[in-house]
Amino acid sequence: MSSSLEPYTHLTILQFATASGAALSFLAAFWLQFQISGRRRAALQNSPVKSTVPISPNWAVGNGVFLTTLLLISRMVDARRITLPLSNYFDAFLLLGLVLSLLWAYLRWTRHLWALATFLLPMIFALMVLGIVLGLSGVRHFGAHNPWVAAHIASVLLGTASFAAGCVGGITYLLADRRLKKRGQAGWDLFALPSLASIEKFTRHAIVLGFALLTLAAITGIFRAVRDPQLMGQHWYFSPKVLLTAVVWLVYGSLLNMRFVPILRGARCAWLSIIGFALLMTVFVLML
Amino acid sequence: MENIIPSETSVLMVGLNHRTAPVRLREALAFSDQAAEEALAAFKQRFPASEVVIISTCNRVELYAAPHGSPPPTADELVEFLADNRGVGSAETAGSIYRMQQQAVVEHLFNVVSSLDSLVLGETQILSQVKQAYQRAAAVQAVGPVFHALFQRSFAAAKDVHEQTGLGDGHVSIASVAVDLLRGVFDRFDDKTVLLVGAGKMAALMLQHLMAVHPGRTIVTNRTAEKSAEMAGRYRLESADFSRLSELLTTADIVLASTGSPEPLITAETLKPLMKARQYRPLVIVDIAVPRDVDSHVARLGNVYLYNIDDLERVAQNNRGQRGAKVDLSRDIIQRHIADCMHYLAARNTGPVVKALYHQCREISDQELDALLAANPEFSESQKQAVRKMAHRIVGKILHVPVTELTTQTAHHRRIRLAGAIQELFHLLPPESDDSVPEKPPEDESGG
Repeated sequence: MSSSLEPYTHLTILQFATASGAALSFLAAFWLQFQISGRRRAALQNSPVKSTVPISPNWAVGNGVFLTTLLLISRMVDARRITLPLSNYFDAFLLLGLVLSLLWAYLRWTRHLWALATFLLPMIFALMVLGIVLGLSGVRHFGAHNPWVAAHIASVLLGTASFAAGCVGGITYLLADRRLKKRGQAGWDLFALPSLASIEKFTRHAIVLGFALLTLAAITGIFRAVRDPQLMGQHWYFSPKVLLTAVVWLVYGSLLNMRFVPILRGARCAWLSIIGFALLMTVFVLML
Repeated sequence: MENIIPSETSVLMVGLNHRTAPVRLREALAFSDQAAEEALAAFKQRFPASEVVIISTCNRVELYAAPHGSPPPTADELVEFLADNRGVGSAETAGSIYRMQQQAVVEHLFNVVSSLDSLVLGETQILSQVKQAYQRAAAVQAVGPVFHALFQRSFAAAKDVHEQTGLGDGHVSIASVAVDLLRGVFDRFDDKTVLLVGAGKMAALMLQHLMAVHPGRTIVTNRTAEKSAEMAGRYRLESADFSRLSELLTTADIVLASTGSPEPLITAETLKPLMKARQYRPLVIVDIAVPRDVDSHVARLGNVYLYNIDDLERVAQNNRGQRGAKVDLSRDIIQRHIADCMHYLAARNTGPVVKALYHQCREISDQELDALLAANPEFSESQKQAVRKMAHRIVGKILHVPVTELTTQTAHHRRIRLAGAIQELFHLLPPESDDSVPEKPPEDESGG
């Protein structure tokens, strides 16, 4: 590796600290949102309000986005060129955080689905933490100058963002379902949740998009493995990463065919969208 | 010496509401829109200088008046006017009518408009009803400066209460709670099918609320075919034979059960196989029958949401409780607005005195300045300006403390006594050009 790329492959403590700060900002935004709901509930129950909310959750998210952007710019400065941050997991997961922040803003302001926006925040936090852990284990270069690799990484990244949104949709669906099943008992109105139908629609759209991107990622990945046998060895198709990805692909594929497999409707679909995402995350962890 | 202190801004109210009068009496005294307009005209004819607003809803009839002129109308005359106008004997209304004056009227109106005095706490209909009453009176020039200020401030208070406390959030009637639950499951209804199992009075009542969401298709079925046919005819619904219940359950998205059957008509065992035929589409069942038409085990099936009358009542009760919890917060908000309104009404009394006092002191200071400047022609323009400014500052500083003392008095009798003393001590006369009443004392020019 040439010495000019040296700073790019090594992350400084400041960069790790900034990434952690950004991730914590998203978690703080989630916590603040809950505090606000808690305060509302305390006010409703006429009990004294215990905590105060120092800043708006929107500002916390803004802070996270600012730090992440700053960090990506500093990484480009390290690389001494303007590039999409797709050449390693650390950068890619930061970008994932930014993409999901955009979705958060969309849900928060453009649609009346803000409960989904709230549950997206811990997801952004978790993904950024995963990116930091992958970064700590060493920055792996993908060689993203190769267009096949760049297409593979980009589709993996955006596919992951879609499935993450689908998983958040699944979690929100289960919460809404549980609340409707509880029939007016405690915890009835902490959050104004969207209707089951709108959550299901959101989840389905996220999964359709994610599935298309995952398929693209699989095709480009297979193409790469076939063309460059040294990359993953001769029996690349037996590697846990590939097998698990195939399982993930099948899980989401079955979800897409809900019309033909109606038993997967409702809560089952929600569970599968969560399980599918958990498996996808396992694929990432396997690469540590 | 001419008295320049206006008599205290007086407001009176007489009326009755759902707590003090039976519906029969409220009906007898209620005004239609036209009757209210005629009554306002009649009132203006009898008391031309007074302001008046008549509020008439199904739960209350109230007459608000700001009496001016000589002699101003009394509360008894207002009651008499109300009874005569509606053709009801005073003896009949005697025990039900309440009379209020001054701050009590302001407090009552603010509570009424914010719906704290309503039968259903937090309802917003009363706000638009009072707005209408106020606009109706304003249209016939029955509203003057006092009522413009009073009513507009009451609307602002109601807006603050609803915005800051969410007093009207969450439905409190069983039928609207059921509709809320449906909205929790579905996002549109134009492609949904409602199935009414039972065609009794309760079903008809719930149906009227359900129609608000405009379902695509509504089918009614009943064990007695004639009853379902009759209901279908009355509400333009589809009628179906009761023997087809299983098939109907396959098509329906929303089921409203209200039969008098002693045994459950829908059980988990009968519904479970149907769910597959339904392709596991969500099904909401609202069971308002007692004894229940739907076995409670049905609720355990996936994608089935079952609510019985107790569940709906619990949600409604919960919402009512939450509204109750918001009352204290609402009262705090209203209190701030009442204080502001009372301050305005008080300022109407002291305004002319304050204005005359400033006018007189400035006149003396200007006369002295003119004499001084005429005797000293050697003063430059900047020196003249400086001397003028100083004189005005001295007037402002001397008057600041007594004027503040006067205008911040909350006790009416003390405020009038102080105003009288100031008028007497300074020999105040009304300023020549004065025909407006300032709401606040003039600013202290010293800035201190």
